Amino acid sequence: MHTGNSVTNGLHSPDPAQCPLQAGGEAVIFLHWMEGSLNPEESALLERHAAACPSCHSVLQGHQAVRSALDDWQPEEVSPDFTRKLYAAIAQERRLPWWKRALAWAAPVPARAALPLAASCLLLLGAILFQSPFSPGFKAKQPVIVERVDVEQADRSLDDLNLLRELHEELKLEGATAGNL
Amino acid sequence: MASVAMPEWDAELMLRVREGDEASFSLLLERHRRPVVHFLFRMVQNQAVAEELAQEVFLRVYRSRETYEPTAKFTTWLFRIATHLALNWIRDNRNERLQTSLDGEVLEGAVRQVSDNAPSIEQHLLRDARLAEIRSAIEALPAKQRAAVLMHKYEELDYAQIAQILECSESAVKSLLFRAYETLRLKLARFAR
Repeated sequence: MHTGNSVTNGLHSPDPAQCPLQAGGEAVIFLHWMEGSLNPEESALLERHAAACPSCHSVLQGHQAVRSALDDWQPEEVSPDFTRKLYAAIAQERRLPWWKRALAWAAPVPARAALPLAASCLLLLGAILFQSPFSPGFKAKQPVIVERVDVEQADRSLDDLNLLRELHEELKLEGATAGNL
Repeated sequence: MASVAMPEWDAELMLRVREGDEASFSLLLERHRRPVVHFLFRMVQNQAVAEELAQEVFLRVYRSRETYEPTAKFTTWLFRIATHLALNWIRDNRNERLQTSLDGEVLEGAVRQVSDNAPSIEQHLLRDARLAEIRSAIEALPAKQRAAVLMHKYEELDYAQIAQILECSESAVKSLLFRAYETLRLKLARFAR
């Protein structure tokens, strides 16, 4: 809880310049007032200031209303079989094998959240094993050989093709001439 | 709150549990069962869920008995577990809660909380409406602000403890609390009239 003594600085006068709402950082005094951690003198100073300052008066009144409203909210009593159920759960846990107890201790993840994760992990593991060099169906990738084709080589090939075409034409002409004779 | 009054005693009890003294665990359970269930109820606003989560809190305390070291106050550790579980539950059930709110259902327990001092039907209805408004204002707070307000207001934990539980600085806790109380003040403004 708050134990400082300087929280009420500036509250001696209702001057707005020294009002907790106007002075930066001092508004936390309302929190201390609400939790009752101001000493009686500080509390009286704040209340005296609020009596003359409409803004602070409204804030104090509001906080008082919140405090009283929250006081009204009383929860239900704990079920009478709470303890019995807890000890039953403890006894049940003691009967579990050590690895299940370790799992529960480590991270009690809800099954519905853990199943998809486990399935994904299995799939990933399967994929890794399938591609592993130790798996029976694994085929090592053959190195890909990329032939380099340079311009001169292409020119020479084209020349050769032209030469072959010309030779072929000449042979055809010769054949025709021989046939005519 | 009794559980805050004797922190060393709690740690001593827990150390005895570590040594295998089951009776000390019963004592710890007896001392902290109500505050933990009530805190969780105010966090999740469902009694059955609150008790289920509280069971898990104490089960975790029991599981941790062998490794327990009294490095922090026992209540800080206990509420850290409880807060962690509650925040997770709120995160996982956010959509469900939103749907419930949209359906306009009356929050569970609102009617049963009214103390029977033989008030008139009208007073009953007014009180129910007021409680529903308070619960709704608390529920509308961001989960961390809600946890901070509940620990501050009902469990009377100090800033340092709340900071340790929420894993933030003390000034961040003051800021969380200030914003939360401001929101509540504005939402519940008409109660001041």
